[in-house]
Amino acid sequence: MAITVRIPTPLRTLTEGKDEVEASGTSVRQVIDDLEKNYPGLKDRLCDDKGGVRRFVNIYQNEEDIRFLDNLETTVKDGDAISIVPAIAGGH
Amino acid sequence: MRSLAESRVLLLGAGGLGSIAGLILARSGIGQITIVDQDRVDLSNLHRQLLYSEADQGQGKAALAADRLAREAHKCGNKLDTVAREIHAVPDTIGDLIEGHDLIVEGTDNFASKFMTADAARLAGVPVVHAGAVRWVGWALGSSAHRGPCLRCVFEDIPTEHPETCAAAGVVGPVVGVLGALQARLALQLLGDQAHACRTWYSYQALGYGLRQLRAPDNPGCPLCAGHIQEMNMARYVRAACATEPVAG
Repeated sequence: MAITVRIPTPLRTLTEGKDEVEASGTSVRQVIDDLEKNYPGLKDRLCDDKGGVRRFVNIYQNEEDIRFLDNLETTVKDGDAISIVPAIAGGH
Repeated sequence: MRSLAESRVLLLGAGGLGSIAGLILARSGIGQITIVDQDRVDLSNLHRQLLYSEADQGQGKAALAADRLAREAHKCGNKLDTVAREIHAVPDTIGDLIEGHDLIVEGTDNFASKFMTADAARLAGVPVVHAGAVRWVGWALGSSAHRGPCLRCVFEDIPTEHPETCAAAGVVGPVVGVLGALQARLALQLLGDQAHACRTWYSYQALGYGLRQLRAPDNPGCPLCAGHIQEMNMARYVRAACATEPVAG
């Protein structure tokens, strides 16, 4: 099952510079686990020690924030896009 | 609804985002802009802070921005009253700063200031437009005066981990250009009572997908929207900010 994952610039050091990668899984959690196999270190940047999504990371399934779906258990299907959107504070 | 010429905007931060948003709002016919910024012009920031030039180094941004924005408005035949406040907005003072304004454009560079502004704006019943940018990425969000998604609905609270800041990672000029212009657009929409502008927020990846519109969630767990935050408590921001890396201008 091919899921497109959009990678923000700060994490592309872990994805060989790619802004989009493909992963497989039927839930967001499985997609992240699959990402970790191919791009070691990525899961640690997304999830905390307890396995939850880090506070400064928002993950979207298509246009929906997974916090308001089933969080990491949100079901994904072929053709879905997962976007990783980090909170950042600069711009001054 | 006030006309633009009667509208009073509080510009919190006159750096990269504030330069662009301020320029557009000044030229759009806003009647009054109050600029709050304690920083001084630094050569290393001029690539993105379009209100200033090399000759301004070392001078306070607030007074310079007030002068430049008034001149920009005049170029378009508009009369803009400007007020310069060379201070740092903190929980004890932000309420007074907001008073008398119809909208806040928040272009600060640290999470503590962003969340403090979100809380104070909602408590004062004033809409606010936020943005943030680091390197080639950023975001923007408009929040209405009394209801609907706010900064805490989207980002919850000041991160206790270590997200990047522009002080450490830098930010490129075009990114603050895009997001500052987007802030101005959202500001004009909110001043025009177009509250639907707050139903979405924006993620920008200059080297990737570009600008994306995302649904701004009505977060049932949001303490600000639920009315659990009723006063500006310095500890709320200091404690959280101390858990993150130091922030700078």
